[in-house]
Order: sequence, then structure tokens, then C-alpha cells
Amino acid sequence: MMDEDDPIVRFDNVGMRYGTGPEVLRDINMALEPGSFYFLTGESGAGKTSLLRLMYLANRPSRGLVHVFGRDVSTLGRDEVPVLRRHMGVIFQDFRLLDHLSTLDNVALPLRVAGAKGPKVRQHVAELLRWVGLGDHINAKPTTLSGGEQQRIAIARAVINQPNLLLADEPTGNVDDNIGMRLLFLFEELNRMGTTVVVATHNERLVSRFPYPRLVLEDGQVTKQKG
Amino acid sequence: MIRSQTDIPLERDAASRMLPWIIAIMVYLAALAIAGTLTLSQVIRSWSVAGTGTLTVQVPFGDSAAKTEALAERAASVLRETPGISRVRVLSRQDVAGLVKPWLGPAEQTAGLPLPALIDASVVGGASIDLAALSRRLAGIAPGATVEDHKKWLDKLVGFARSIWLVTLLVVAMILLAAVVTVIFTTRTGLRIHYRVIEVLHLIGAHDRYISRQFERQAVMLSLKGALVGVLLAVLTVVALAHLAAQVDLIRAPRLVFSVWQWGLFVLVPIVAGLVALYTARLTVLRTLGRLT
Repeated sequence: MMDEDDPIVRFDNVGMRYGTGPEVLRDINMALEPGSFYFLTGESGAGKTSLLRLMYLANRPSRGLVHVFGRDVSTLGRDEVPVLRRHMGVIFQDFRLLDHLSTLDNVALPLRVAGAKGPKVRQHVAELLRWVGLGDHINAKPTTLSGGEQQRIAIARAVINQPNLLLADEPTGNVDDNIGMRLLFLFEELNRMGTTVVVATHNERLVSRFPYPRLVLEDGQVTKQKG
Repeated sequence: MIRSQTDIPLERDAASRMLPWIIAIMVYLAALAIAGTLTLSQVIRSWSVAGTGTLTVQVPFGDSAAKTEALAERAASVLRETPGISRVRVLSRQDVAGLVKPWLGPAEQTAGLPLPALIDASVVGGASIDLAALSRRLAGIAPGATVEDHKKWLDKLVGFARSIWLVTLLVVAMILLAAVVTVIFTTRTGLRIHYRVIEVLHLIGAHDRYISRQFERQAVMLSLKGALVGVLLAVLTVVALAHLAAQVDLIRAPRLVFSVWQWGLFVLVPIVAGLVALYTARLTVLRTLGRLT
């Protein structure tokens, strides 16, 4: 799919607009190396979510080129997109959990979608849920849990298949700093195992505790800053 | 094990709840139409066989039964001499009385009535007989004698029955079309209702086929459930009608008696309904999702 040294994500002169509206992202040039860790910061409405949506292939750029895992997004066929997405983990700002499924089933979804079956799946999922502090809520429906607990389900779902690229949109937004730190340690651990991580956040307190570079979004443009 | 429940909660949709009932009604109507088609096919076949190559000659009542029988025997002799006619039989008075029994009552009541004599004749296959000339010859021997060519009117009747048979097939086809439209509507409604769930599944790497399989499973289950109810009701209706038909003593009334393979057609109906639901749901989901960017 891609050479070892190729960037996991590369943007060349990328601009993006929704419909006929103004450009929310413009002239973005950047490359995320394999195994890197970035914080994506910027004020509310700066375009953090839009930038992430381009990365997880929910939108296509209005102009410029986006490469993900070495593939030019504009040339991807409909059947190729899910294949790339299976190498990603995405934590959505609004969690996007399936309310009719249990915690266990929500977290197991990426494995099921990829065709995994059997008792090992359950064991693996239960283990991860214990790790994120939801071991007692395996059979609970998301609607019966707090916002923080739902967020941890979303995080567990995103990391269950050990993705090559983890994209997190405000993953610490609904948890206290303690749990926030714990979640970032989890991301760090995944990063150490080779996962490229991008965490969109405006929690300066947490960001300042980690030595990772930042992608700062301002006026629809990105600048890289050292951590 | 992870649960067997589907990722998309289709079983909660109002449209999904209605689907088995709609399919049950459609399958009931389709199965009855098929029963009608089969019966009609049997009738057409029996009429075709019975009506091919037979003639009936009617000799009016003379002054007495004995004279009528004598006239009939003379007419029969003429028929036997006619090229192309293979078998000639003069029906006895008892046979004629038996034929009119449904209208005039038992033989004792018709004993004194001036019943005509009837002659049944078989025509050799492919033989062409000049019926007008034959009628004239017979009238010369037995004034008022008439020749009835069964084939002529049976051909018209069979043609009419075949038209009805085609219309019945058209009805089955339209029911099938209506079932397809119903499944399309239900599937599209499900796609709209569960748009957000489908989006999540896509975002975590689900192919369109993964999603369509969930709709297919649901459509097949609901259709099979409805189809089984519909076909069972149809079979009960056919059995009841057959029972009623057996009690009505009508000449040439269609008989609702089916062979094993014909009953097998009824078993096929739910299978066809399931397959139609499966492929309709699959195509609907794949085409709808394919239009999304």
C-alpha cells in the first residue's frame, strides 16, 4: 500500500468548503510521518473537525490533493474507502455510539465489520473495557451511562483494532483531567506501538503536559509548532 | 459470543412491522391465482381432449320412441358409411335420460317425454368432413336432424379460457411487482430512518455489502413469515373450495384436484417471496448507498 517512510497523511494545497459556502480550510500543506503524535489545536470553529473529516475520508477536498496511507483520496473507488478506514480509529466529538447495542457490542463493531468472530473477540473487548474502567458496564446500553463513560466506549471502539492512524476529536472533552490524562497515556502507548495519533483538543492544560508537536489551525490554515 | 442482533435496529421500524402482513395478503392472492391457473389449465386440457374429433347428431322425436330409435339407427348407418368417421354409437334412451337428469329429474319422470335420440361419432384425426353435406344427407333420412361439431364451439371456449389463463398469469406478475415495490419502500424507509447508524458503520470500515446483508436478512425473514401465513391460508381456501366443488354435481364443473408437483408450486411461493425480498433489498441498498458520496 505504501513505503515505510511515506507519510501516513499528506495534504498538498488542500482547500475545503461545504457546498457553496466559504472555504473552511485553505492552502493546507502538511505531512504526518508514520508513528508520529500530534495535537491539533485551534479555537472552536477553526476547522479542526473538518481537517479530521478529510483524514478519515468523510469528505473530499474542494481542491488540492489528500493522500492517506499513500493513496490519493480523489482516485479511491467506493469499495476501497472501507479498506483504508479499517486501518484507522476515529473518536468522534459526539461519540456516535449505537444506542440499541450494549457497550460490548459497540466496542466490538470494528472487529465484526472486519469479519472477526468467536469468543476471543469478546475476551479482547472485555479486556479493553476493563482497561478504560468500564468492566462493570459491559452489558449496559450507552444511554444509561454518563457522558464520560460514553466517551470511553467511543475511545475503546476506536482503538480495539490497533489502528495505524488514530484520529481523536476532543476525546477529553467530557472527562476530568485525571481520566483525560489516562486516556492520553493510552494513546501514547498505542503511539509507541507504531500508531500515528492526531488528537484535536483545546484543553491547553493537558496538551502542555506532553512533549508532542502541534498542528495549529487559524483562519483555515495550519502551522506546525514544536511541542 | 457476541450477540446475533443486527447492527441496524430494523426490527423496530413501523414499515418492517407491516411488511409480513402485506406480503401475507399478496402471497394469498398470488397462490389463489396460481390455483385458478392450474384449474383452468386442467379444464382447457380436458376440453381439448374431449372436444377433439367428436360429433354429436341429434335426431328429433318421431311419433314414438320406437320410430325415433329406428330413425337414429338409419342416421347411424349413414354416419358409418361416411369416410373419416371411425366410431358411431347410438345412445340408449337411458343414456339420454341420464344426460337430462340434472334438469328434468330421474328417468321415471322423463319416461313419457318426447326425448330426441343422440348419436355419438368419432372423427379420425386430421380427417376433414363436409359437415354441411352430411347434415343435408341426415336431414333427408331423419327430418330435423342436426350435427353438432364439438370442436368448433370448444375451440372458441378453449380460446376464451386461455385468455382468462393469461390474465391470471398477469395478475400473478402484478402481485409480484407490488411485492417488489413494497420491499423497496420498506428498505428505503429503513435506510432513511437509520441513516446515522449506517454512517457510523461506514466510518468504521463497513462495506456497502455488510450493510445490505442486514437489510436482506430482515427482508427475507419478514417476507418468509408473511408468505408462509399467506400460502397456508390459500391452501386452506383451495381445500375448502375443492370440498364445495365436490358437493356440487355440475356437468363439466372444474375439479380442484392437484398433483404432487402442482402442490409443490404452493411450497415454492414462500421460497420465491424470500428470494424476491432478498434481491430487491440488496439492489435497493446497494443502489441507494452507491448514489451517496
